[in-house]
Amino acid sequence: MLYLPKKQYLPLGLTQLIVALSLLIYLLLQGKVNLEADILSLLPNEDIEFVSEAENAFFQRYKNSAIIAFSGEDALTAHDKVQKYYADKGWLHRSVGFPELDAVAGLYGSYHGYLLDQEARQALKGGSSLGEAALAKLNNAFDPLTPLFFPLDPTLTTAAFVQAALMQQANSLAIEDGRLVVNDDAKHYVLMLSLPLDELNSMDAVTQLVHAVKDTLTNTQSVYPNLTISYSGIPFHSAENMHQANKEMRWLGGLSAFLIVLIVLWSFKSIRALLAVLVTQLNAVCFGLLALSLLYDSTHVITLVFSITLIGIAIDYSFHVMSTDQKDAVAYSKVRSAVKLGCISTVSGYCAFMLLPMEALEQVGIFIAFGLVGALCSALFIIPYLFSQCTSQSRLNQLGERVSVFLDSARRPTTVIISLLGLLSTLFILTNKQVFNDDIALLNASSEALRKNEAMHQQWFFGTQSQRLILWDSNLELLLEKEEKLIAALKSQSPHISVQALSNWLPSKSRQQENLVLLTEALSRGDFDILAGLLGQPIEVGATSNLTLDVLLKSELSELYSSQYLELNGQHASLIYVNGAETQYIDTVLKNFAKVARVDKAEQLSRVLFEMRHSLLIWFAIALSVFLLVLCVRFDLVSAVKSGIWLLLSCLIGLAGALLLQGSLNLFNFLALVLLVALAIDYFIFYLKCGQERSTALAISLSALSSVFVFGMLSFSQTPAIYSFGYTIMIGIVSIYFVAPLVVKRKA
Amino acid sequence: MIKAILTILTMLLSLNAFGQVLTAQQATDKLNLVAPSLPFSGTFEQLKYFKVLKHPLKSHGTFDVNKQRLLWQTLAPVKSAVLYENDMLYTINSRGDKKPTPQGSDMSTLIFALLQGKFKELEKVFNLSTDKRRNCISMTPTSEPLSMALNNVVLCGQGGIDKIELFDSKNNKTIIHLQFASQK
Repeated sequence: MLYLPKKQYLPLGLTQLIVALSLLIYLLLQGKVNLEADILSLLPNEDIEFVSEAENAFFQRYKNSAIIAFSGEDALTAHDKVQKYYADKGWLHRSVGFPELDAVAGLYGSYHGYLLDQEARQALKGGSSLGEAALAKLNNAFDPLTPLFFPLDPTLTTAAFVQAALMQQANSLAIEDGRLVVNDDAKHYVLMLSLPLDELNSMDAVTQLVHAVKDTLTNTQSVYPNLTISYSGIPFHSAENMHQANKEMRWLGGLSAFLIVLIVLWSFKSIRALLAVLVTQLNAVCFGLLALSLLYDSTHVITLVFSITLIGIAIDYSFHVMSTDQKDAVAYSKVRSAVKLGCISTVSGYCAFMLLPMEALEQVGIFIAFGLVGALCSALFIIPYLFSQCTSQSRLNQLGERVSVFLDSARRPTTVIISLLGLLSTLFILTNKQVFNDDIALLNASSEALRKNEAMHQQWFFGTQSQRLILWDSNLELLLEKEEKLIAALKSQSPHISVQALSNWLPSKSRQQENLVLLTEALSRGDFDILAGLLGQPIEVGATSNLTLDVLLKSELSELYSSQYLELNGQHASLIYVNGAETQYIDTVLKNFAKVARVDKAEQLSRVLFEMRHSLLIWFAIALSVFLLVLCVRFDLVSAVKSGIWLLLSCLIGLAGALLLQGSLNLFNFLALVLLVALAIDYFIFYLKCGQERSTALAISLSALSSVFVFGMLSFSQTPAIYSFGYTIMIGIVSIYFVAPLVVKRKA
Repeated sequence: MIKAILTILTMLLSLNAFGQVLTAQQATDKLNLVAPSLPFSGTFEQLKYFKVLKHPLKSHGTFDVNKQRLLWQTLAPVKSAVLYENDMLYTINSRGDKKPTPQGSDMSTLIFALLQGKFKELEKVFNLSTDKRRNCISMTPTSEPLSMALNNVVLCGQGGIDKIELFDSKNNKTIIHLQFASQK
């Protein structure tokens, strides 16, 4: 390495910090640092991008929607009162529910002849007459469609077509006296809100607005104690998660930062020490972000979540340099050399992320590798100057001595306990029936009540066991034909299922033409002669051109169709709901169709978690190999194998402990292993390089303590993803702390 | 002055034409109703008047009602049926093919209540009032989806329901004469 006079350390260190900071600020101001928040973009599938875009476009309208339902005593009064209040605020969504039959008849009646339901098509294709069916329908006193359609279409085939389409609408909503109601076990009066959240500039303002909605409901509940109110919708989830995150950030973040400050001040008795730690962290984060901004067009938000581990590793370098007496040239040189070696080995381990098939993890590797170089620069060039003049070295020596003696006395029990625990942990993990859980709910901190309401309201709107499919094609005709074929395929083996689709209301042009031919033939066969006789005039069909999407979208029922169709990037896409069919059955049918995808956000996100967990396992194997190789080359095979075994046992203990506390393991337990390995590499290298010196033992103790405070504090979080991370780190780091000295000989 | 008196008189007369609002008990008392005990059956004759048809459509058939099942079967001119069972409403064509209908349980609950003259049930979805005829009760739906299908229903009879008049959303009239079979 190039030799630099000590006087040049500080100017060099500060220059690189200022340059890095300025460049990062410039890139931020220029908008070159872009965050990618769509977690589905992590999936390695080219179709996913379009499906994800289409799904977002379809559900954009529900982004700011909330559903509120009142039941029980005084439900009607409470509903009306709250409805008036929300209407005054302009928060009410325009009316939803059952389409007006009069409007449906007016629209579809004009296109009689082109529209036949499946049963009528089959009958006509088989040469059967529809005349009797029309007469029977005409005589049915309780059929609401007949009086509306008969004057427009005496064959009543259009009425049958509309009835078949209505049968597929699975929602349980009805309108009573202008109110949206659901009649299940109880009567629920439902309000649908559309909150003006897009007009607000900050998440705080959004949370406040949602709280204002909730406050109204709380007040209403206090006025009517026997009333039951249920609410759901994305705004409520966002507000709850935001509230939870804020609370945890304030308490857990504040407490861990306070404890770190306390550790630094207590052990080093110096504000400069605190400053040195902060500068190292700042430099590390600057380097990491700079590398990401320069190498990638956008940084995935999940990269930043994973990259939190940098804080835990970077702080160790500061502790090692600060706890070593700079006057002791030999010891100081050993520490500098160990810091460099630790950095090289950790960076090599993180470079293994680039071998994984996920760009987000590649970004994590880049961020941490560059971040560690930043931390190293700071540890080598800035800290020595900042800290050299104010260290109370004798106190640090005393502390180091005590820690060293304690670790010495703990050697034998540690060997026995960790070996035994490692064995038990392995057995526990291997014999556990359901070890892994990749449910996306791990990322959600919403309350149980809100999740239950969400499920209940979704069922009202979209039916039970509802699956969503997105279909797309280059033109509308191809899209409708594909829908028709898909629905026929789905119903061929499960006739009981219902499918809400655009083609229920708008058959493809080719099908409409075919229908017209079939019906014209039936008329010329005399199938409807009795009806014509009753009317005293011949029945005519096909007087107009066929029904088109333009006509539907311009009608007063346009909401019904626009919610199921859109044009995106030159493609025509439709959204269909399948009710009552098993997921596996749908997937089997879909295999025979191109440009169709079943969309289940929760399932897809869970798949992302599963894929990432697998990638992390591969990484773990690669990182462990790199780690052993470095130790083998730099030290010896025995030390490498011993370190490897202790590291593996500690990881197993961390995982088993988390499994015991959580009931299952997830991606975030493995993410914690990444940090654990990175920290452990440094611990082993420092012991192997410097021996069980006072300064090494002290620095590692401080480092372990800070990791326990920063990451262990996360165990108190309400979000499963966060506490999973916390448990593994906390248990694993304690084990690593005790086993790391075992790789060197007892202090003489 | 004379104009004012005439106006008031006209208003009072038109108010009377709308009918006097009744409670379920008053409607039951007015028709001296004794609800038929389940199960019961009978025959019906139906006349359906469409504005676009010069002559009414005539049909006849049978009905069969027990606690959880209702069969309304048209025998002529075309054999067909409406069946309510297992909480589902079906239409059955002349070949016997059964098809569920979107009206669901609302319509079947209505038919059950109409045949038995259960004004307590009907009061939940209709406003009850007097009719011009002494033995009849006029009913106007208060909520959707019923009001989408019907404008008005009139139930007539003494001791039991023997005539139902339905006025659909297009004001086409259907008259159903009921003949209950003697109960066992």
